[in-house]
Amino acid sequence: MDSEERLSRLCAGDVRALEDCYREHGARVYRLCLQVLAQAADAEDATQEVFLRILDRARQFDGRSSFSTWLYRLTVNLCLHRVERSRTRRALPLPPASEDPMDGGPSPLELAARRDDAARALRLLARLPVDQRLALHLREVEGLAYREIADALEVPVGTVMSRISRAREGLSRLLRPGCLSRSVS
Amino acid sequence: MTADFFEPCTRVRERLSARFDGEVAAGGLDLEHLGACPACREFAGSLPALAAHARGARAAGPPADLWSRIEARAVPAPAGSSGRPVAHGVSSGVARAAAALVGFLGVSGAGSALLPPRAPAGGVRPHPLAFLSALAEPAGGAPLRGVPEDHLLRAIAAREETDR
Repeated sequence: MDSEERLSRLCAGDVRALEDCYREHGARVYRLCLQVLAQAADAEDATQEVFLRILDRARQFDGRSSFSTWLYRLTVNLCLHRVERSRTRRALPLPPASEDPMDGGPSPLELAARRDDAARALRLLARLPVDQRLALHLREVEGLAYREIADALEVPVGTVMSRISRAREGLSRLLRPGCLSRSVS
Repeated sequence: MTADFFEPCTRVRERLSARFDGEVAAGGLDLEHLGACPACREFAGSLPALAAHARGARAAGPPADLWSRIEARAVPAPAGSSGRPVAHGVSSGVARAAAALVGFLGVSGAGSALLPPRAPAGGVRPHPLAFLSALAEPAGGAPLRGVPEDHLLRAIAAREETDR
């Protein structure tokens, strides 16, 4: 099924077209939801909501951006709305110091690079402001160019550049030795 | 230290970060500042490790049954309708409650004032929305607000039980 055919079938409410769309974009949407909402159950719920909304809103897709950018925008807006609704925009609670794998390591950055642990990465990224971690996520995890991120987040490219840089600075601070354990106490 | 003190570092790091992502040309970097600022040099050196760390989130994936849960909520509309699927969720609960309410009102007769009036034999059918006036000015019949709440709840519970 090519993308045009799928879009027209989505507009007609075809569940098989939605399944095709899920196979292609489901993991991305889920990861983005998880990045914003930080809890697997919330991310699963939000992902369901996003795909149900696709059926309702496919007609609104005007082709000015790619379908995936449109879908990112839909996902981001839904997740941010949920964050605002539940007032969890504040930083998430820190993990207990005993769980901090950074303690006692030879070099925090080397350790972080070696331990490719999604849960741990998400836990740390969740400590950044949501607008910064969204920009960093779309760049590093989804591999979008700044222009595409700007379209998805509906902000200027300069803002994307600034948010990604600040996210990296924040992540760098979080990875300094003892940073997490100090914050806990 | 004031914000002005940090401003050159902020700008330089934005350029470094964007350069790392291939978004700006190398010529845009302030090499003079980099030569004099160990913190910005450290930031530049840490970029690959920071990127690797952030990319760790790529390993996260949805549970295997997530599509089936979505599918269960997006059932196709019956043949002959507009073809739009129906999203199940809160709306289905509302629909069940409404069905229970209609059933209750039908049985008890309490809703007679709320239902569209039947066309009199051989007469002119009233406007289909005429019954709405009964909500505003109930005349004689029992208005919705007159239905005891516990009756409604029992009717809804009975319908839920039947559905199971």
